[in-house]
Amino acid sequence: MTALRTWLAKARALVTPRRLDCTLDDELQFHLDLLAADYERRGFTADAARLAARRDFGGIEPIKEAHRDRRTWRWIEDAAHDARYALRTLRKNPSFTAVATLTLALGIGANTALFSVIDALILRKLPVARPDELVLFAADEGQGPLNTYFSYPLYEDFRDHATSLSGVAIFGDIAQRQLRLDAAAPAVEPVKAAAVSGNFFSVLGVQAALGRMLAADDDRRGDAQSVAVISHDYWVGRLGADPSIIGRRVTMSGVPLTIIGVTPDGFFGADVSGAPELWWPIQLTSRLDPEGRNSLSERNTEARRIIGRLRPGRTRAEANAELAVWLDRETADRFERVRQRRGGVVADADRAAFRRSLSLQPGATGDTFLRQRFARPLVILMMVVAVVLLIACANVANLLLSRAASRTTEISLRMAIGAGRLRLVRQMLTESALLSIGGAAIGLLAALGIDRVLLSFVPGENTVLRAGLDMRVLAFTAVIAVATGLLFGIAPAVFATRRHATLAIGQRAATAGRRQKLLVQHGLLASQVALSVIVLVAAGLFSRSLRNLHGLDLGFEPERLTVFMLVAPIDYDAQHRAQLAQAVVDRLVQRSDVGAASYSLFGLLSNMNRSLNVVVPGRTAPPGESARSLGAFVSPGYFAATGTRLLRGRDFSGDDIAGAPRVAVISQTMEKRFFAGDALGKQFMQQGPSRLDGPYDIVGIAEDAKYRTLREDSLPVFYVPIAQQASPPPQLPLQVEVRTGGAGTLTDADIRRLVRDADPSVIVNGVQSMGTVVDRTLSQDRLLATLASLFGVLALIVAAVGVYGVRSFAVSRRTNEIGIRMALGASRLSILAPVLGQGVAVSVIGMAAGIAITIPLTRYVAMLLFQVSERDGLTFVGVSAVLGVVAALASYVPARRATRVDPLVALRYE
Amino acid sequence: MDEVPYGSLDLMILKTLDGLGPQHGYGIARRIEQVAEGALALNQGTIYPALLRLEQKGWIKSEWGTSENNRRARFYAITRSGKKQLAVEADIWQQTVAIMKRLLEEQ
Repeated sequence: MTALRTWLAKARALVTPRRLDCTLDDELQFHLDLLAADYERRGFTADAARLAARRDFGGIEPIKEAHRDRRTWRWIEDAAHDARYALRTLRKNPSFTAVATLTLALGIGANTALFSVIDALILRKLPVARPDELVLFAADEGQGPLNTYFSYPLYEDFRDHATSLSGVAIFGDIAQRQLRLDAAAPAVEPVKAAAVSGNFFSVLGVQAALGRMLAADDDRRGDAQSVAVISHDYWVGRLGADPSIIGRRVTMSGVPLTIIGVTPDGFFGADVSGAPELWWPIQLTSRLDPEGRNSLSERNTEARRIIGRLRPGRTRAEANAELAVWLDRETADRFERVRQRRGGVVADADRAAFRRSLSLQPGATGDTFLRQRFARPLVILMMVVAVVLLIACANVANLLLSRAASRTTEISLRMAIGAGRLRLVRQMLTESALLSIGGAAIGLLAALGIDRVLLSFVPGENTVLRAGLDMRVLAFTAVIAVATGLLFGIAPAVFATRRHATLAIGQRAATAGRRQKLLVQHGLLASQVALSVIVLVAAGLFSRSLRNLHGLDLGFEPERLTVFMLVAPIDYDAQHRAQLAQAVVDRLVQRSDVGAASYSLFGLLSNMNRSLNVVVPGRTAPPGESARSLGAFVSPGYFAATGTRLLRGRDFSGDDIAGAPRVAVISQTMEKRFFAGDALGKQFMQQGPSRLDGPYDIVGIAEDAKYRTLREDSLPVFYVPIAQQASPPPQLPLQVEVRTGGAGTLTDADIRRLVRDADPSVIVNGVQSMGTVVDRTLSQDRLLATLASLFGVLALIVAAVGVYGVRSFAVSRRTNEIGIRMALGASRLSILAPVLGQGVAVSVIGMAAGIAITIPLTRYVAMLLFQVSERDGLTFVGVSAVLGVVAALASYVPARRATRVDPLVALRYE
Repeated sequence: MDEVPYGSLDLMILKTLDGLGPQHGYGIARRIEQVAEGALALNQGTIYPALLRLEQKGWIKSEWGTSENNRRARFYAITRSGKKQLAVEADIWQQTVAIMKRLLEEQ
């Protein structure tokens, strides 16, 4: 209580300092006067009385000092005083202040930007109740990333049998739908909607901002309520935060819905890569499906993600152990169906393809496909920008050291009249802090810009990521700013106050101290150059890697190639699906703007493929050889449509149908691997599930094409006519390839209309240009190359400024000497050479050190590079050359200036 | 003449204000010196930091008024919580003194 009162009194005093000092003066004077008057009354003369009063009273200044110390917190007053002083000093040196602040702004801005994206993508927990209790359902399929998509019936198994979880909810992906907000007006607008189970919001522990959230009762099977919840952003942004929205009847994709609630501000579901604007009960699925199909009953449709909440005290491992059996059961059933379809025989390899196990993941940060793809590049870029910040720190430290030279006299004076060293260091650190705070403020603005660039590389609608600078990011920036200020400020401050006061006062050149300081400055310079090497090598490696990827011969022509998927109803058998696809292709090629069209199973770069063992009759495979080849099922016209060149032989024709001799086109690599010489007319077999399948007559040789990823080596690939495929292919969508050309442009709508005309019950999915597909596979490479180059250029500029600054200072120190030598007749060159040489020497030492540090670091990026060794000689040589030229130029300019100085002026200098 | 024992100045000030009513700094200092009868070397100025401390703790309060010679002066008065504190501290002092006395007289 007393402590609190004291605290309050001090806080009050903090805001009214001046007046209190004055009243203390008055009070003390009054005391002294009374005391003196007393003495006068006792017969002292006025002067003697005053003296006696002073003696009785004791020292006035110490009393005032003690009073000041006690009145409020001394350190705050001091800090405020230091800050005012530092601001004055900084204002007096505008160019120094500008360069230092901007350098820091760059470094801090880049770090803030990277952190904000990493935070949003990887670190930040969902804005829901107790996120740490959440678990995300995932299946480990033995290879590749975990699969987080499941079927609805399996969800029901989990939900109904989980005792270690207090709730299990399911949510679908965002889909674009047509919303009519006003029943009277016919206008529709797109809305991003997601289906969720009724308990979704209660499992996440989310309370409505307005109205109520969906409840389990809204989502009963066969009795789903026609209700929906909208997001806070949508409510504010589209509906002007109109509270009367609750109870409004709207129509989505033709289905009437009543809006019952608004989610809290900041809530976006459980996937950070996209925020739905509307959530609807998942039991409405069949009513909202264009074909009225109820995918909730299909165990084959694995299109939704599941999230659960652990009961207090239960662990993820317990839940996993409890629920694994349901996934296993579904997997076994599925396998059994396939086995029966294949007449009871299944090869081991196929059996392995079905293997999977439940692997519950922590759900606190939700789920996003972006995480697997971008986590590593982002972490690498984070390290790059950390290095950029270090370079900036070294630069500012150097600037401060240079400037300290002009302040030697001031500092020595202050120390001579009794300022404590610690006090002076604190004063100078305040200056550093102001610089870094200024840098951080500008850096935050820069971060917004860098963020935008960064996110332009991340595919999808990143409304959530774009939320940008929140309190966490600001806190990160603040910590960075303080750390930076200390990092670059402490050495110059300690250095500046180390000299003995007597040494510098009145003596303009404290040469010994200066030489030492120059050594420190050159050390900082060398480390700056060394750090620049790291950033520039990263930039070089990633850029070369991207160039290699761009320059690749893909083996197909992505320009003017459009692909899309045909999703047929589940009861269409293989033959029916093939007829349908052929009908679509026939309609396409009749158009004047279509050059060629085909369809296939397993599209190029589609993440789906089928690999099989190949056997060539009469050939003994060398030991250790892999017989693995990719099998592609294509229609006639495939090679013309994709632009894959047929080197020899022929394309498939309408005659290559079931019953006709089985034919195949093989890739160059396959020819080279399995056949000596020309393979045309020869035969091969494929290892089927139970027996050898074939033989296939080779009728054509095609150039190698990238099939799965751009990074793969050329694989043996064989193409067979889809019409000759005896066993029905698995339930995979067929891909259609269209090569456009001629007059007009084929639009998305054209394709949909055309397919609807061919068969109204078929859905068109994912219409995209092949260029987009290729680009998307390169998004992380582009992200790395672009940003690393950007930061490389920044590092180069900062390093150049650093070299220039330090060399200018070093040369100016010798202006005197140079003037004398020139007056004595020394040639320009004889003066220029050593001055320039020193600058270059420092840079070379820095580069050598930089290369030594960089080489072991590069192995962390090796797996992200394509056809570039992480010790790529060209990159290292190029980086050294660029840095060398920049450093030489930055040293040359001040050196040349020194030789241009009029000897008379130089002699009078200092 | 001896230094003011540590911590006792607060108690002296509180007791003085309790006994005499509101006083300015000079009045308090003079009263303490009178009572000490020259046995105490009080730098009168030291009472001002002490007054500030007591005021911050809320045991005394101050206001500006007019002195006997018609000048503006700051008058200090004890508060209710100051009186409580005085009672507590006086007790402690008396106990300490009694203990010291017994201890010293045993010899």
